[in-house]
Amino acid sequence: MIHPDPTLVDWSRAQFALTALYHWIFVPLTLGLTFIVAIMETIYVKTGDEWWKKTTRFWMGLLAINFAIGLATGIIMEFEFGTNWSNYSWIVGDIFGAPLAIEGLMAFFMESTFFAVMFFGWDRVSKRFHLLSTWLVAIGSNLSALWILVANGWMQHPVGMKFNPDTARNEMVDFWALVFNPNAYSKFLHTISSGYVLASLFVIAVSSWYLLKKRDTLFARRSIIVAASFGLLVSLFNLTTGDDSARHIAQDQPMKLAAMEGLYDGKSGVPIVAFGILNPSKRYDNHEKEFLFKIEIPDGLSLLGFHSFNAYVPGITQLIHGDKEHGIPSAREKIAKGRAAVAALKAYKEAKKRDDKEAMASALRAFRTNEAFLGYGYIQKEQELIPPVQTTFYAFHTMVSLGIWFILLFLLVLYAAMTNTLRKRRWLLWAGLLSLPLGYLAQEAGWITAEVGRQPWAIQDMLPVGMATSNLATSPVMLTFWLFATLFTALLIAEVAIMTKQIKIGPEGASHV
Amino acid sequence: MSKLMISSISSSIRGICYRVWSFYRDGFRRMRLGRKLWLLVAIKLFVLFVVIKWLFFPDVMQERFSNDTQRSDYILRQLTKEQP
Repeated sequence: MIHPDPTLVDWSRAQFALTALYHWIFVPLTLGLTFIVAIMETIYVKTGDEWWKKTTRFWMGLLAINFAIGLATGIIMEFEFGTNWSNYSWIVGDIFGAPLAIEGLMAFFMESTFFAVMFFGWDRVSKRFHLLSTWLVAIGSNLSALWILVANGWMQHPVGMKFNPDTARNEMVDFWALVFNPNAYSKFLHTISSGYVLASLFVIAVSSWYLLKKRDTLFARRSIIVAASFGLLVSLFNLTTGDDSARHIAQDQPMKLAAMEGLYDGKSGVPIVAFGILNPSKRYDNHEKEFLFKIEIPDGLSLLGFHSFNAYVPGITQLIHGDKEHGIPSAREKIAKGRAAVAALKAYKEAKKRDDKEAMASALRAFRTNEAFLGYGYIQKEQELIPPVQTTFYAFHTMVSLGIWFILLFLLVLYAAMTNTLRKRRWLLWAGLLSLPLGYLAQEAGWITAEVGRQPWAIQDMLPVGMATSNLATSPVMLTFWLFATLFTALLIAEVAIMTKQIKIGPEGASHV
Repeated sequence: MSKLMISSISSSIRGICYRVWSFYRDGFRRMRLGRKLWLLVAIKLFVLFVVIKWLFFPDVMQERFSNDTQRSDYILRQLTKEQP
């Protein structure tokens, strides 16, 4: 939320959020649509039916539009790292360097080479080589996402590194720990599978429009069968990856889990809120009710977070005040340890200046003892450790509710398409069409849950956002915020306009990409 | 013998290069929607890298400090300064 007199941190944060959210409009469709066209082309190669070739080329054209418009929108975040987040970039530099370099190389070689074959090679290479290229584009673009999410997973759960007090940088000590960070791979699988869901919704929405317009009906029905089958499978997979993600959040980011569920008072056998309206007056230090209204599933949160009906889940109050019975330290204890780490770092720096080896060793020992709490040393008040609960709760519940709706939609649409009754069920076609914006909403809600829910941390427990920002004047950040808002909106308008024109032309008259 | 081999290898490399070149050349020539998209990509990259990056997004650490020791010192000062 941007208030009238924003601070530099708020504007930097808002700018990054804007860039990331807009970037994520383009990416998931590419991730999923590459697989859908690969499936369609596989059917073409298997059956030899030219009609499937035409279908594949039509969806490939829409993929090209989305790819071209989304291309390089993520690079802006790298600009922001260097300018607005220079402290952060310096501190994480060694960790981000490797995954992002691999991502750049993979994106360049896999996507660029085989993308050209995919679009230019229809009549120049063999059917099988063309199909291989299409699959490699799909796999390559998804693997590019892996490296980005490895970097993001590290921020949520930093592993495989050691802070060097001489350089003030984190240095990688175990590359494989970084790559196989449980938080990273569960996030990767959940994120890419959500992209597949969005692409399935996209194909269903466009095809539903054709059916509502009573044109290209065979094309639309067959496209729907592929998309709904794919969508149903990946939605079910998405449920399992979401469950895995929740388990990691419960272990590594308990405050985020508590915010996602609006849970203030933890206990054993905590229910999950299926639907709820949060009480805006509730705080961790008062006795107001948590919800104005709620429908719960008994023991659901314990099951989700710990795979046990009776597991204890701490609430925001326990995470702030501590809970000795369950071994949860209070925020005050963590802040004290964090300040001890900061003081030891300062002592180390001063001892180094005096070239006092003994004092350096002693300060370093003190630093290593409390290093895990370093970020808490920059927290002024314990309530700063609570993320915006309302935003996190509603974003999470929006994502989950829509995810369940999409499963139902895929089932209904697939059944109607298989029984050839889709055209009679106009309400279902409208539902298919209108679910596309809901797909985008679910995507963004997922990222809001992940990123707002981990506030105040830029790197979990290590670096709060306030310490990560550069010391800049606020006005250029405000200016570039609006510049990006304008640029991205223009790109979005261009995407919708070109895409709509191409869809109206349809599969029969689609031009050569 | 070896001259023959070198000549045959170099002509096959030239052949591959020509095929790759003609593949891309013909692909670009036959584009219709793609031309519009490439134009859009070119404009976007110009705006991003030339206008936005150059005017608004300097690399703060590179610009303010001349070596890594100075950069480390600056970050350490930030990390260890007294909290209000």
